Amino acid sequence: MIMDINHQNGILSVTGIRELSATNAHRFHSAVATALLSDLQAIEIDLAHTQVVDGAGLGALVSLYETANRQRNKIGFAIRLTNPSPSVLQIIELARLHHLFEVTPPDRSPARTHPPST
Amino acid sequence: MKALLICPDERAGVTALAEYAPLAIVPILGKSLLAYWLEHLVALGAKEIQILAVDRPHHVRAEVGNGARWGVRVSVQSEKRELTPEEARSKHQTKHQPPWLPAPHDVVLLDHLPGLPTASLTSSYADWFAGTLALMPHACTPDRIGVRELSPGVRVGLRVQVAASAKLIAPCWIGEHALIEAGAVIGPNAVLEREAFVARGAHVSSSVIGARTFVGEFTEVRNSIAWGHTLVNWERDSCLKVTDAFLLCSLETPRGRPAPAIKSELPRVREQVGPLLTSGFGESEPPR
Repeated sequence: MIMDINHQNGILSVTGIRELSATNAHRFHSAVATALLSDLQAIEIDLAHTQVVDGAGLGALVSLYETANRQRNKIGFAIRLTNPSPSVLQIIELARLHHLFEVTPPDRSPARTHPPST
Repeated sequence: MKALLICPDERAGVTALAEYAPLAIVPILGKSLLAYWLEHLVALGAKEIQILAVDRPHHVRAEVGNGARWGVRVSVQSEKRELTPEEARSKHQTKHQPPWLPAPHDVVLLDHLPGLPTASLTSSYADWFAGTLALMPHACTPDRIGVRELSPGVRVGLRVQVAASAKLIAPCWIGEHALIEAGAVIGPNAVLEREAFVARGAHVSSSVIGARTFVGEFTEVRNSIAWGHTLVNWERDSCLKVTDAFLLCSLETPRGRPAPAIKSELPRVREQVGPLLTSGFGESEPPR
């Protein structure tokens, strides 16, 4: 699985994801979860190159959200999904994950903002 | 009196709708565009109606039969390409035939609903949805057995099952044999075609759910047309094939097999729900 994970100014950026499906969801989750640092404020996942997301991929995102919250003993840790294609945005909305994550379609303001609770 | 109906061929703006059936027989509030026009032309005095079909004429033939259902003689003729009304007139209207209905009802292209504004239904998904909504207030006709208005703007068909805790918000149309589980919210501006199945906690608004389509638990279908596993967002004009049956799928059975009762399909679909979303994600080591 080829993707880049960078940590800068408390933001963990994940880019270059081609697919988020049953074939790589577990590896995606493991790779990102192991990069979670204690001073992390948010995770930003760039979906610009992601062509396929299925139920397992959505499950990986939810699981990542739960892992991040559990490690910080709080609810509402921000995970931002940026630049999803129209079809990827459709499956995110179908599964109602746009209520859980901040989703920013290309060249748009966030579709839904879910500020982290303190 | 005679009339001629031209079934639309493929339309680039609504290709996903034609995947399951030719556009002329895709249900709109429980009836096909073809059925609406047959009823309309019969009311105008037509006794013989010729139908020209390019896309799957055998499906069209199966839908209308010989027209006895409408008290009219119907024949379906396959064409190599979709004719314009002018071409159809010059090709099919001859002097030695019974008189034709006066224009424009002598030859009708089935891209709009009778009695409604003539904006084409088939130019885009947004137009298809707008046409469906425009029809809703007029669709409670006496010939629809069992359709009733539960509250202003909430119309339901025969043998609909709605859980007590489900919410129906006007305007909405619930087709016959549809099933809505507990906590689901349908509407406003929602249409469930016949035998649609909306599972527990799902929200459907400004959308059409196609016939025999399953909408999974706690999903949200908004500004969309969902037909089988195809999900079209009519606002953004984007299309998605949903691969996970627990989110959205067709309840159609392969041809030749008897269709099971809609409720018996539920366990099969639910079996796939839990494991897919929750399994397989082991906890990683916390940072040291």
